[in-house]
Amino acid sequence: MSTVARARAIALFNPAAPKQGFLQPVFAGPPGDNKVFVQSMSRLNVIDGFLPVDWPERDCERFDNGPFADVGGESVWGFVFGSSAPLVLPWTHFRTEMSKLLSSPLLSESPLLAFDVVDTLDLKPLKTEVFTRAYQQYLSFSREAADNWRDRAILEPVLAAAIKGVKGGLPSSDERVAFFRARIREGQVLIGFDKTGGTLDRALNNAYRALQRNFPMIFPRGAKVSVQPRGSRKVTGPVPARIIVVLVGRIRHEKMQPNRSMTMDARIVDADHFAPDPGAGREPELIIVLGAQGDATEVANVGRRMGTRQTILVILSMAAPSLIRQQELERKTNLPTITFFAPFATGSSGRDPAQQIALLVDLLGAELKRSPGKLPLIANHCLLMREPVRAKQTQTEAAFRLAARALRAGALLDGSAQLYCHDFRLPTGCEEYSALLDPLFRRTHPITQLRPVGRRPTVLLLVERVENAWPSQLSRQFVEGARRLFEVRGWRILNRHDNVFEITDGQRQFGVTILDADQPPPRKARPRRHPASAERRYWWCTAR
Amino acid sequence: MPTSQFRNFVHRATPLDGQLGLTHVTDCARLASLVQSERLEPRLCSVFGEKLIYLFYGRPAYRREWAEGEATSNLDNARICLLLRDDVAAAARRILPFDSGGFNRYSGAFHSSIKIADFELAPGDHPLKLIGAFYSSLERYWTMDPIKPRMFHATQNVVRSYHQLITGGLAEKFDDRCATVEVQLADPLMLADKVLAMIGPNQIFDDPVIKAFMDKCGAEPRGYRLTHMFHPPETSARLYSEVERFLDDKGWL
Repeated sequence: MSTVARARAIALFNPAAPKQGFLQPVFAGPPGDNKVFVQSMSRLNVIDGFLPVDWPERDCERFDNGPFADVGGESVWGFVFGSSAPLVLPWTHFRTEMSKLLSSPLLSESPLLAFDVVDTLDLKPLKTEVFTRAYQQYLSFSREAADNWRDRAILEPVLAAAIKGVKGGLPSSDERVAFFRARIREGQVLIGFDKTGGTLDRALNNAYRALQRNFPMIFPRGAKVSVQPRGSRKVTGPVPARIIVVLVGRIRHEKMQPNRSMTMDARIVDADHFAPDPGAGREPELIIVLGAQGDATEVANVGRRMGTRQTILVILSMAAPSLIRQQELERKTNLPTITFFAPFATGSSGRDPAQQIALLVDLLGAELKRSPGKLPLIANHCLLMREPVRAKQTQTEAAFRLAARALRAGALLDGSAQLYCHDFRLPTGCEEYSALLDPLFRRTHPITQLRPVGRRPTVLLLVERVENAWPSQLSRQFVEGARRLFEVRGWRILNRHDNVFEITDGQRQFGVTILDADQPPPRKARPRRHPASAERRYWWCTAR
Repeated sequence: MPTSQFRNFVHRATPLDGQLGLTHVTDCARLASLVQSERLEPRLCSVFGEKLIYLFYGRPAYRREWAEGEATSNLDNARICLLLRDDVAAAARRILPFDSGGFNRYSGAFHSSIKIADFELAPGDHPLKLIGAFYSSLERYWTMDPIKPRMFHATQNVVRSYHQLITGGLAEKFDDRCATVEVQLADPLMLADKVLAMIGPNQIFDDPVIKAFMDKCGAEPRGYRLTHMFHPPETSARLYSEVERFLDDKGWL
């Protein structure tokens, strides 16, 4: 700021500016001072001081007999209307002359410039006419454009002033005053503001009624003022899901079409992109951290990041499981686990793993529904086996095969189990499967019917897994399990000596020896055929 | 050879639902040619050495230095903002997670091996995917509130550096341009069916030529009152407010 206290308007800056609008007056200081100045104002009508500027003379349009101005005195304003001479006058005189000009046809083709002038200079007598013309100008674009403009340009400033004017209300510096929102929709003046109360509501209602009286063409009569907290803005992020499946490791690179398969309230995300964010909305009820067996360590690591959220680690297995690996996983985490035998989930078969994941989500979703807020697992470490039922296969055969695979994979005999199925061939539901498996596992709930996935009927078994067992214990359990399976199959045991059975199906007799795959089979016990591919770990010996 | 680390990271992200549109900010002085040609023309970019159109996703983050330093009353210097449809991003030459014009300043905070090309998105990936990778909602993107804390592997140094940039985790702090997705187009953009709204001083919408252009585009005029004296960079703040208001009115934010 200069020390100049008095200066005279000698020119207008920016002659190249559009032909209608405000112009910046340029001042000359006392005689002998070659500097030029502009006025500095914190209020529109008063000069705080003069600022020296270094503007080239070519950009200034000089005039004679300009007004003098003093620091602390009235500011000087300039305006130009087309080809007429610019108007350069002190504030009070300027407002009077502008009122006359605005009433003339000169600005009739510029209703929005007129609005800016009247609003800036606060020319109250002209507001009704000029604001209405401005609104109509926007109306010529669209009703939506006009209403949106009206709310921003007229409604909000007036209501903000009303809030500031409330005794004991908020100071004008409060952000809530600066950023509050108001809009008129369907006969209601909706005000987004974090404070309500009798005095404030009355002030807002009064302010709106005054607006309606002054601008009857702009503001609808009878609109009711409704103040609501601003915090209720729509969340535009992903819709919070009940279940989130976090993909870990190589499965992230599989091509998936989750939307096609996922009908549950679930979302699949890449582990890299799942960051628990408490402020993001509703917390999921369950997080499933899912990866291939080879990525088990990473699955455990990602699981730890889930904190106290209800989380299950799911290992997708393509082949017979190595219990050593499972035990390694268990050492790395305290979280519950499911080993899911899903041969096509992690391979390069080109099949979409999302379908397998959808099955898992459906199953756990059904359990969540059954016991809200509880961990939807029957045991801390479980196996999940899926058995598609072939067209010519009976329920007995399918159940037999499913149970055999489960035992071989480490299912705990007499352990907790739950069955899920969809078999549209069975008019009576899926209880047939359940009855066949009851001699082997302890069912916790009636069988759960799932929505069909794919064309084939499918039965799934979620069963408690053996923990910390010696191989010899596992072998004994398997032999006992095999015995019960023979009975499920309808075979009668005639004799048994350890792992050697004599059985009959009513027509023929068979001799069966069950051996651990790690041991070579005895010479006389070479198999002629495998009863089922899933039993490769053990040698089933031949019929006599 | 740029690393594919960042692009793979973003490529695997789930895009956020919703839309914010793209912004193009320019001076009123360019209005005449814009409405006459009804298109945006690429202009030579010194960073990439080719003709480009610069757009930003959601936020009107473009800034231009105002050398004059003083307030002006010249309408030509006031800023306007075109709000463009989301699908314009499909024609992107490249998409970057920040204002590329500021990379020289950000790069000082990165390891010297990290180059601007390391941050390019994979062709076909939309800005919503990038936002989904770092923010939990569009509102959080708008308010520059990324998901944090995040853990990154040692081999995700480019991703980690970007996350630090947008969370203010670097020694040097930058303005919102470091966290605004930049969309570059190499071909002229025909505006007829691409403009959602134009934000500018009220008085530009008095012009029948602009009205005809807006009618043709089906775009909404969003006028703001220009003060009698204004400092052009300060009108950028006004554009922010108006864009936010537009998105709010649309229910997009």
